[in-house]
Amino acid sequence: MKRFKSLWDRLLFRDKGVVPTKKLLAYYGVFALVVGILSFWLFSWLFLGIATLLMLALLVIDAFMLPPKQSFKISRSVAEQIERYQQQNVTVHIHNQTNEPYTVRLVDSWPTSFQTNYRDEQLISKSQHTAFGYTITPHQRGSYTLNKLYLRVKTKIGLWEKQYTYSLPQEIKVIPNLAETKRYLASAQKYLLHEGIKVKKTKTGIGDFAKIRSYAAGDDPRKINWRQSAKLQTMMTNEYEPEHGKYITILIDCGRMMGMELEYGNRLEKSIEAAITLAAAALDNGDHVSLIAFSKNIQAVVPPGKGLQHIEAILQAVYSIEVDAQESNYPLALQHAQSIQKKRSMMVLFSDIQTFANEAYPLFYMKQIRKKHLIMMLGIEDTMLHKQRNSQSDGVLAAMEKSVAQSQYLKQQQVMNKWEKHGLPMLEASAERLAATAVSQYIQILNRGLL
Amino acid sequence: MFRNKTWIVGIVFFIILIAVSYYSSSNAPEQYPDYAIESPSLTGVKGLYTYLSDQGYQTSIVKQAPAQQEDTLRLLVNPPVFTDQGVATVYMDYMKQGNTLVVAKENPDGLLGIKTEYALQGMLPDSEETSDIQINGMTRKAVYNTPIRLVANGDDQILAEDEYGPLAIKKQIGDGSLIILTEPDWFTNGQILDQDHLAIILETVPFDQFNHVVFDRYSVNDAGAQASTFELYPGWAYVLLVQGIVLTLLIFWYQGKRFGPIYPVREETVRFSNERSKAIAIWLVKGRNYQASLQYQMDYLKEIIRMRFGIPYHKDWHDRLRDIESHIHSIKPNELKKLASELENLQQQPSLNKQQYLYWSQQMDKIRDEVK
Repeated sequence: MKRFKSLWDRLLFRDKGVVPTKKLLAYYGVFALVVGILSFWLFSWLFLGIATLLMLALLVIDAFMLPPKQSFKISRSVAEQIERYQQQNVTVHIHNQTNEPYTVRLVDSWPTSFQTNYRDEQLISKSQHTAFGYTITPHQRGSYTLNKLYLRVKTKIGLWEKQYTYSLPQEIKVIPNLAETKRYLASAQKYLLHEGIKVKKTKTGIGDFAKIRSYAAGDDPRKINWRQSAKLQTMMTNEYEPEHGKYITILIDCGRMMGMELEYGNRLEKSIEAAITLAAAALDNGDHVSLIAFSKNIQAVVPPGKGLQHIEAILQAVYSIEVDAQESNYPLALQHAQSIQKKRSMMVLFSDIQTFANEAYPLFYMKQIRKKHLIMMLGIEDTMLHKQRNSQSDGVLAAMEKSVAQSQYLKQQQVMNKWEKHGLPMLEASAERLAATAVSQYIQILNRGLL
Repeated sequence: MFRNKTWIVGIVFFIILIAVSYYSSSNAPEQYPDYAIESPSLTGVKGLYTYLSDQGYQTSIVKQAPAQQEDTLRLLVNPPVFTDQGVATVYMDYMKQGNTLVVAKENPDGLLGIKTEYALQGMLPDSEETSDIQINGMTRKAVYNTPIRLVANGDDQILAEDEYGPLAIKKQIGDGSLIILTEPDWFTNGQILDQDHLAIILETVPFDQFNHVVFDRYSVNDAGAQASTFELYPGWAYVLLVQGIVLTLLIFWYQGKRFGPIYPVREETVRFSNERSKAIAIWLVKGRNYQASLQYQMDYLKEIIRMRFGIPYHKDWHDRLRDIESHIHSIKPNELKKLASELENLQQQPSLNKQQYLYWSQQMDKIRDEVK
């Protein structure tokens, strides 16, 4: 019964079975040509039948020369966490337990959102381990389960290929792209070059004492550390830096409007990358970071934490959030943020500003919260609307769309101004500059000592 | 899966079996179709053929269609009714050239314009029973197997008949003639010596007028429906067919096997950020709300002029455009003045038509592009 089932699977080619190769087709083509040429002089049905059957039998013999599935031991090694858009090497180890070298090809069961780049055929020598490498590039965040690995082994003569399927279950997490974060952590000042702000700038007498350095022209003479200067016989001065141990709360909107497509990815992707960069900047500074992702309901919560290792917790919470087809529930998110964050903190809300231009009710909640926290909103500039409001009217509908885009722009400007007056800054940045804008705002607020 | 050795041994035995059966099959009895000229079986015509050859006639078996000037007698035993008009024409031309065609067929109706009728109303005599046949005033005994009798026209010569009607007639066609017999079985090896069959054949068919008797195989093999499908075409065509089928199956097998996982079709949806403005725009177009749309455009124009030149909102269009006319190159100053007064009028106008709306939208685009 088991053998029958196996044969049935083989017949239906359920990931096992034998296929002819190009070589076999070529051989058979040549044979057919020879028989065809011979038939001009002598033709008999018997000869034709026997020759054909003989040829097929000879070709089939090769197909039975293949080793069983158990003679190859296979394992796959790949990083459990892969960054989005980052090429990764996957290594498949094949242990050939037979006494023959074989040529193999393989295909893995990566989902379609992974760009795979398999190598061509590779020779695995007898009784040896061979590493078979290929590269993947993930294009979507989330957690994926890999299972099957498909291997095709060529016969020695190379007329047939047999397919073996191995079950190698494995969990893969695709986390957001951390390129910006790494750039910031490598050199904060270089990263904020365009912003023109100094990462550490102190007003006199503000902030914590950081270190003593030799006096340079232009330093405040009141900050000279006389005791050290006397010890070392050179002028030394104290240096201060902004206080540490502040609290940052990051709110990420995953509602309907965040699913808008940008040049690369959508708004949510960019917001997550910016949020993680901001979190890294804050953690690097020694501040506490908490994070909430919400749409209609709360999707992910990270309580306040300190130190760069906290970024791992944030990544684990955030890596698989997706855009909901629901309107965002701002009051719920803000209430939740207050409940996990009792101390005064800087709340950064990554959201869509157009929504606020059309709805006034979040303003009420924000004003409540403003008494205790410092709120800032960050949105992504809408390049499409920008293009539309500067488009030409070459038709009634086009003119209409243009005028509507213009009116929406005006309305948004008004709303932003109004909120600004209430002390709720709303900022728009282009998709590429979102992370840098978030970090520079944070640093400015620290430098000004507003927290 | 299986142990390899057993399979290879099995295949070798299979090949041996094929080879053995090939050599042993050559001793098997050969099959002949009915009325075949080389057939020594009871249903063949070999007896008559060898008899004529022994009598000194020049005989031959011909597979080709008859040529024009041959001066021969052609014998067609039980030919098929020609479906191809071209073949019938070839035979007619052959006869018109002065040759004689002998057709022996149980029911030759429709063949070369021959007409027949049912004379016995389906009551066939026993095969044992003999009947009397009149030939040139003489009576011959024969066994016959067909209820069909020929229909003779006025100038047809009746060669043999019985009480029901003519069994053999001779038609004059051109310089030649067509002789039709309804009993092909008299020609076969099994019956030619029964009763007076041989005498009847020799008296009706004028073998002695021709020194070359042709036994025709063309009509059986190539011209009729009797030809086997396996002999219709030249050998190479069959090789092409068989090998083509095998090769096609192999190619399908090579191409049609999935290597890798099954990918379900992704249902990708893309949302663009202009969906809101698009919907509102369509709604406005349906409501012909042109005035409101122009008002939006004017406000926007005011806003960008305010951002660039600091001209406040409450100024009217005359002042606004006069202040910026040095920056606008594509529109002349006096045209700008006209534009300004028309814009002022527009704000008062209660309704617009489509043409006006488009025209003004384009005008404002012009100013916007200059100011930007």
